[in-house]
Amino acid sequence: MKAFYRVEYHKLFKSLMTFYYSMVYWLDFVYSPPWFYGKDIAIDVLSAIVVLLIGVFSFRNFCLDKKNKRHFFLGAAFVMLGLSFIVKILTNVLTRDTSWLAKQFWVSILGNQIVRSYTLIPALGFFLFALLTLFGFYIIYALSSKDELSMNYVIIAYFILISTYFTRFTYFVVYLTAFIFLLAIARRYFLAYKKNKYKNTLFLCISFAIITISQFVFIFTSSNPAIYALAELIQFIGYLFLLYTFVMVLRNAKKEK
Amino acid sequence: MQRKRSRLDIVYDMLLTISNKGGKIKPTHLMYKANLSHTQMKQYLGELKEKQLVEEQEKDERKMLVLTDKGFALIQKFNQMREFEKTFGL
Repeated sequence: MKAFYRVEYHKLFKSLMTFYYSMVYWLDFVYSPPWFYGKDIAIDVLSAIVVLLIGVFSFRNFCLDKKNKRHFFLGAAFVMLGLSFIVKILTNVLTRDTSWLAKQFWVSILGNQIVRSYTLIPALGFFLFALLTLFGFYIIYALSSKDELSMNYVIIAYFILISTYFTRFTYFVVYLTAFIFLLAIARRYFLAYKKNKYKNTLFLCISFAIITISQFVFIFTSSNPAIYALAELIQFIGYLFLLYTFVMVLRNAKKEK
Repeated sequence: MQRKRSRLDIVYDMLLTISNKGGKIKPTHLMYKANLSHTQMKQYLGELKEKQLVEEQEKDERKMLVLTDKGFALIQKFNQMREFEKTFGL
């Protein structure tokens, strides 16, 4: 009798896991080529530091002026981007170091056919990375206009969720969506610069334009892993330019009387 | 038409006025330079003193308002915030 229950539980667990894996089915995502291992993580760590720095600074501004909620939302957007980098770094590290062990574990429980070439960590990691990145860029896009925050944004947030869902089948959807958001952000900052002729706004526009190019390059990662390295480098230059803009903001504030 | 100054704008104007005068100012000068009524001046000055951003000193039997280090630091933070807002269009 006892043996019967054990077998039934095992079957139940197996069918639950089969269902779960069918839900989190992901294509193989092309990450870094082996010769770029380590370097990509260093680049992502530095990019994460830049965006988190701006996020924390924006939160500090919100503490100073609680009536201006835009500071809070901008802080949230940059922290989301920072978190997306952290998730990406962790996914890369865990996938590279434990993928074989994890795969063996799941193969022993579920069988080779179910597990195939994907495991839980890259699937969840990429999902979180995509969601945080897109929401982060979307909030920056929404704040780059002086329009009041309204319910329209809830609908767009829903579409972000949908597009993240479809990255399961075509990884580049996330980069394409990020590219469109970033193109719109860069355009808005360029228009703002044309209006106010403020140099730091131009620097901000250039930073986002460079990051936009990087997202475009990321789209073609699957054709050649070296393209991933190129896109990472372009993205890094973009975030370095963003850091330069941030330093200029602080420096100008010092000069101001 | 210019918008009404917020509480934060008034505090910033007061601190900046003192800073531009070398960190020391007579109360009446501050009131005129920062465009404040007597009631506003009393209310905001009390707040600034309470938060130790400004302190009162007596020199030759005259009251002087002196900006503290904390006050200077707050001006710096305000300037950074304004620059940030200008850059990001917030």
